[in-house]
Amino acid sequence: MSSQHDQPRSLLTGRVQPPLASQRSPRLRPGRVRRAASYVLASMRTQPLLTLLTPALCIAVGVSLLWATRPVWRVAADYRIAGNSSDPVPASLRVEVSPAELRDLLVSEPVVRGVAKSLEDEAADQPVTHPTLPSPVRRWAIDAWSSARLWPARAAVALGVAEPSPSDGVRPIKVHAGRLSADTHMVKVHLKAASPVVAERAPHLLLTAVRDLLRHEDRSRTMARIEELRPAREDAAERLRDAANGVTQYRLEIGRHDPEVSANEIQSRLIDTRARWAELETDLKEAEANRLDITRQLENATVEQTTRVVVEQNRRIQDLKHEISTLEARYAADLAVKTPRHEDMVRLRLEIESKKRDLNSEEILVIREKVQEPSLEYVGLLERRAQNNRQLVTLAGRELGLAETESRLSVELAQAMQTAQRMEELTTARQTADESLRRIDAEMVLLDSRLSSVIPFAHIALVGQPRVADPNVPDEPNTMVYLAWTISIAMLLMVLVPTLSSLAAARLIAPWQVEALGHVLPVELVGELPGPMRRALLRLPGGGGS
Amino acid sequence: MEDSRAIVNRSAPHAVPADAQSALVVSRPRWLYRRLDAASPPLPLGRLGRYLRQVSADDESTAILTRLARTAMEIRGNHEGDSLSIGVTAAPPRGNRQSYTAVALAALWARWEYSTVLVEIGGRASETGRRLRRTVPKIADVLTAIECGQHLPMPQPMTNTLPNLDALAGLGRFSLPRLADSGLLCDLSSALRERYQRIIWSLPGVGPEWNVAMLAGVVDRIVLSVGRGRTSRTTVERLACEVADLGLHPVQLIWHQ
Repeated sequence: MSSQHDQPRSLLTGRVQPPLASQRSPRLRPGRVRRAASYVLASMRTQPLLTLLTPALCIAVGVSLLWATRPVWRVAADYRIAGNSSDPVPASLRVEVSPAELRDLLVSEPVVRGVAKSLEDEAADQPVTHPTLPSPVRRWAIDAWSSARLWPARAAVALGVAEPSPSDGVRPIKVHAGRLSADTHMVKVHLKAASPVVAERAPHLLLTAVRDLLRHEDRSRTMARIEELRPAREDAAERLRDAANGVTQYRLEIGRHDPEVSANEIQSRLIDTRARWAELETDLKEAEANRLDITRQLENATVEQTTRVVVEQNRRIQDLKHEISTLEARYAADLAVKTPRHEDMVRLRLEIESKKRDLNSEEILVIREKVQEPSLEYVGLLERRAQNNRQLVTLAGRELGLAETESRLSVELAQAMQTAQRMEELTTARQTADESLRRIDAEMVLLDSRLSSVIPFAHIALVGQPRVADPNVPDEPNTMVYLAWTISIAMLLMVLVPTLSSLAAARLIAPWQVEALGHVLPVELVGELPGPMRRALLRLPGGGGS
Repeated sequence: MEDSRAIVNRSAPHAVPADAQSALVVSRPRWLYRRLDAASPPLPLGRLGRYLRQVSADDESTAILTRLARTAMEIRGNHEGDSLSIGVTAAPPRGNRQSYTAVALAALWARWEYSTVLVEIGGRASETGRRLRRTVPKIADVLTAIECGQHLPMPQPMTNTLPNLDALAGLGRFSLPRLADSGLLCDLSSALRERYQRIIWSLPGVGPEWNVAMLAGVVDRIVLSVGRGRTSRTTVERLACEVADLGLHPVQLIWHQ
């Protein structure tokens, strides 16, 4: 009794307060997990209504949603893309579709929308009756729930948070892409429909819609291509006209001569000139050899010493020798940068020969002056040398003429080749424009034929007849799985909701907590005043204080 | 104390002896009553005004007055006859009915013939302050009179039915933190203690802008007004820890159901 007197009591209830958790020995405190479990169990025990109502409400909502969920039958359809040999359409008109493109087309929004519209039209014409269809009340609930599931998206669109989706609304079918086999060109598509008849009918409509879409796209592409080719054709025709006019005009400019023939003629003349020049050079070499021979013989003649003495003493002869040596040095220097057939070199050679002839004349004159009576042999040699000199002069003149002829022919040949090249360019441009125009015309003919023909797209086909697993039992929703999930969530909420409610309530202080807090901190509850709503209720009867 | 009584005697030379606190009201001249009757009360409209009129005019047997009386009896001074100064606060921002607590205590004590003053320094968020600040005398006037050694201006009664209940209001430069920092709070408290038996300070909500140490020597009790489901345990613990650190009387909670 005395221990109970020592323990603190509640100010309001007068009960003995248990010691606070912080005042207990650490060894006597339970573990964290055990404390948490105790807290959870205590929360559930202290809030029985919440503990029971929460799972009940959850299960009720789950069952209601199960009842209001639209039954769905699933069907798997296989589509095949056949090879080129099986398609009767000509290869020029065939539209190639890859398996990936076909899969994208099968699940694309326009195709699904078209199939849904076809199904709705068929349903309007011939209402489908099936024993497994839900009752009118359940259909109304299903439609309401389906419409309610679209409200968040519509509200987001109305608020401008999201973009409007083209698939907005309840569709009689849903299409999902399945496995893709690139090797066998097979595409699998999964369809969901609200009735088994629609589920088995939808794959055929899907194939028809894909073919129509491909046909429409091909027609659109063809027309777009034709519209694209028209200005290109006009441009090509204009380029062809310009090229033809250019060729004609240039041919008039060059005087109706074929530039290639002219170039060949000039080239043959040039070759002939060069051949004659080669012969002339042979004659020159021969005459030069004769001149050297005659000169050597003159040096070996009897009057050689006298002549040489006289020549060495003559000033005129010395000047000529000096000039000859200067010209020969210049010739040797120019030989490094010019050919012997060059016009300057030929002219230089002629000048050297002229100087040499003057030198010979001078020597002859000096010798005649100094040697009064030369020998006959010596005179004969001098005459042969004079004859040789004349031959050399003639040959040099011919060489100069040939050099000028060769230069003129070379220039003419270059001009003729340039003319021929220009003509070839113009001709090539005309041929290119002509080919481009022919190609465009051929393509337009092909496109016109494609526009006029109907492409069946028979190489895209449905493999087999898709069948639902059981027409009397929908594939979705799976009742057992649905109920299992519902019960699991209900059990979880049965634990979570009371616990969170207790935690939220404990966060805000309550009068009984003030009493417990008063044991450790200087806090006391001095009074409780009625709230504004309760104040009228708490007014004592009689009102006047009686 | 002498000055205060001199003021009363000068303003009401025909009054009863000055040791009776009720003489403060009785000793007021007739022209003051006429002015007060003619003037509109500071709390004429709204829930708080209706609450004040209910507390000041209802029968004592009503539940609210019964409970309020029981609560007021729990809040006593250290010695009988001394003036009692209490500070009323609450957890911010609203819903803890701090204004109702302060007005109810002030009205009840005024009804019990205590000369009572309600000093509003709760800042801009206080509902009482919003209603009183435009009509009642300013704390600035009182402090000016104290500084100049003049007579204190007579505050205006909050309602015509309770002539013992006066009100003062301050804001901005005369809010609680500024008054405490400038040291004027102690001067104001001393001057008010000399004139009134019950002084109720309507404080700002519990928060970082003020602490209990500012009120050391100014208030005798700190009353925390708590609304149902509005105040967290942390707020109570923090205020109680500050009070415990200063060695003051425990925090007294008034619970609004």
